[in-house]
Amino acid sequence: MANRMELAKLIIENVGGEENVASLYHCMTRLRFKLKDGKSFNKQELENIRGVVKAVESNGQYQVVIGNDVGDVYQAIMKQYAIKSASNGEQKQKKEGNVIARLFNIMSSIITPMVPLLAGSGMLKALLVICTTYFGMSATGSTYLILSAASNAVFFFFPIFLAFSAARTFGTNLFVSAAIMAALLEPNFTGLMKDIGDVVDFLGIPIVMFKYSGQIIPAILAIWLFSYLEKFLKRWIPKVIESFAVPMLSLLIMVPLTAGIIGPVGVYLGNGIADGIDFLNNQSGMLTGAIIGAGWTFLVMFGIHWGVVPAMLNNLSTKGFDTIRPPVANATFAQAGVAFGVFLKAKDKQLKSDALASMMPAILAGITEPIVYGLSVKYKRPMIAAVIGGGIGGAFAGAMKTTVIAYVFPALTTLPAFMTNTFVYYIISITVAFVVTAVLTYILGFDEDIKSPIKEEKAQKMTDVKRLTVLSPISGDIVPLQQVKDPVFATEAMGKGIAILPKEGKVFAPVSGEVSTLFPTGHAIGLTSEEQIEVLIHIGLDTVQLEGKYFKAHVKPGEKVKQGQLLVEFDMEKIKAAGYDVTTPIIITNSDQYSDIIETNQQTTTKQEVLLTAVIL
Amino acid sequence: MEKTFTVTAETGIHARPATLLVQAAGKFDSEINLEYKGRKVNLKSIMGVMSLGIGKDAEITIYAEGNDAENALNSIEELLKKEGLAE
Repeated sequence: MANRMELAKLIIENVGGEENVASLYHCMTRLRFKLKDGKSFNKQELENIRGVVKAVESNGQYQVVIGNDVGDVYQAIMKQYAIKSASNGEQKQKKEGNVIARLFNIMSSIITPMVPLLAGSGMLKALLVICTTYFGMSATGSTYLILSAASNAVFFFFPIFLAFSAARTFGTNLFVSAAIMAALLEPNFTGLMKDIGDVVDFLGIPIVMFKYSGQIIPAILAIWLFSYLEKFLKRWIPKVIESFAVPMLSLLIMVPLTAGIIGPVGVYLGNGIADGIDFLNNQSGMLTGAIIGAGWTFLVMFGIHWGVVPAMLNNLSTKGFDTIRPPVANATFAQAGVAFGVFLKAKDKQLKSDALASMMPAILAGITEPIVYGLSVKYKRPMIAAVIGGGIGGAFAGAMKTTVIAYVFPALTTLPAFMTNTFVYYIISITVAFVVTAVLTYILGFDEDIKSPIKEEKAQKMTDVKRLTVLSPISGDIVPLQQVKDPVFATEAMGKGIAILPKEGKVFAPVSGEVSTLFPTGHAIGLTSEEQIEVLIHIGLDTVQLEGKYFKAHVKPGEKVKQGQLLVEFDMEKIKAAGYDVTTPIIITNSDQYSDIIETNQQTTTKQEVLLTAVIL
Repeated sequence: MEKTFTVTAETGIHARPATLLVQAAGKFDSEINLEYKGRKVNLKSIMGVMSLGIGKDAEITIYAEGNDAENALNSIEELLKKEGLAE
């Protein structure tokens, strides 16, 4: 099911990947990329994607024409990738909470690449717990310890991994960034600390010691600040010594700075968020669980869940378990319940099978996007069912202080991670969420005839996207309309189009249709195509003054013509000799009927090559 | 409402004057049509205007229907006179 996130992914893949995008903004219908390497712009592949109308390169800008919902696709891209957005120099949207949105964006771009590793390590941890608890594996034996090391590696050295990822996002040197955080895990440093909170001395300044293993915010904060320092250093340090001087000074400055200020601040912030949620949890586990179970799907849709993820990770590394994930699991299983409910209730066979199919990724891997966008949001009432079901299940999970011991996506395959003393409650809660939601979905029903935005999109783009092509009437050099030396044409007052500086004095029909206008002077001819495009060809500028001299029309007004048919012949040399500019504008006079008019990006054209494409969305 | 004019421009109503007329007409809500030699076209369409092939000394009538019809006709008349297109 192609939804916007998928579309965004496909587009970015075919422009050379996230790293190749220098910046991106969008206009009314197109995504406009500035790419580092233009060769990676895969025009063919892009145009094959459902949802992409056309891909063009123009003046160093790489454009992907999407249509009216380009804004949503842009959002989908910005949500998934750390791409710099460049506005056209004009107003940047000053939306409320813009800072928060960017913050979550950054969080997401740093942590997302690490998620597979986190999930895999988490599962390994969970499996080890099962082995020691139920299968008698010795928790002190070397087998266990080695595997334990494998599963714990990413958490123990978290700051280093995060530093790498953050370095990519903020554009700093990957290795220096990693080293900055690695210093805080190095035995010389950790050896200074007997207890958390010990104070040591650095050049007379007190430094509060913390255990940075497993911490998240200090690394992100530190590398973010480092990005400014690095830029500054690179500007002022002579190139000759740059290669060692910048790293040296980076370490010299950043490590004490991080140990002294950034680190502790980060730890407090991280603990603060986690503590905050813990506090709520303690006050009323039931209420907190209910809110999370009911609202998590919405947080994910807006990308705000990234504010909570650090808390989850923090819990896991400081306490060894987390109480936020179980209510989240209820939201996931509630969505799975939606899919099942739709499956049972739907009359349309395709919908039935789609619903069942979308349930699989959810219960096997915790992936709910197909359900959320394909069913819940689309049919609306099932979403209400999910909120209720997830809320009830979450309330129960929260009330019973259900725990998880690893960072995993909730699914039937990740049950091991929940096998603690609260496992029974976990099973009960997700079963409740699933069943309640499925039943409610069934009872509440849904309007099967709603054209989903996705379906409509697809239908529109598949069948209704009309691309009407206008071929070139003349062979010659392409001149952008704005460069034509006549403001009536150059300002697009007559409509959008393009101009040609002719090589030969022959005008051929660019479309099949009717000659709607032919001046007696023969210097301007207009066609209305079978598909109702109005194309005006104005041979030369101000040539009306020649009163027909040097022009010979081969057709009559009202005559039906075929594409490629000879319409007018003109004597180029004599017209030029008489002092006239033979630049010939070709205008779509009913441009306002179309979503966009796309010009060819060729420099020259011969008759019958595509000149203009009018797009209706 | 309607008004009749005689075209005085040497080259008739070709690209530039047609564009000016169409732009002027487009500012008003009223339905505005242009008639020449029995053929009537929408004055808000460039192609339509140009398809009439109006030359010098042609007699044209402009029709306007709507709540700003009077303003529209006055505005168009002003334009025709100012640009020396017709009187």
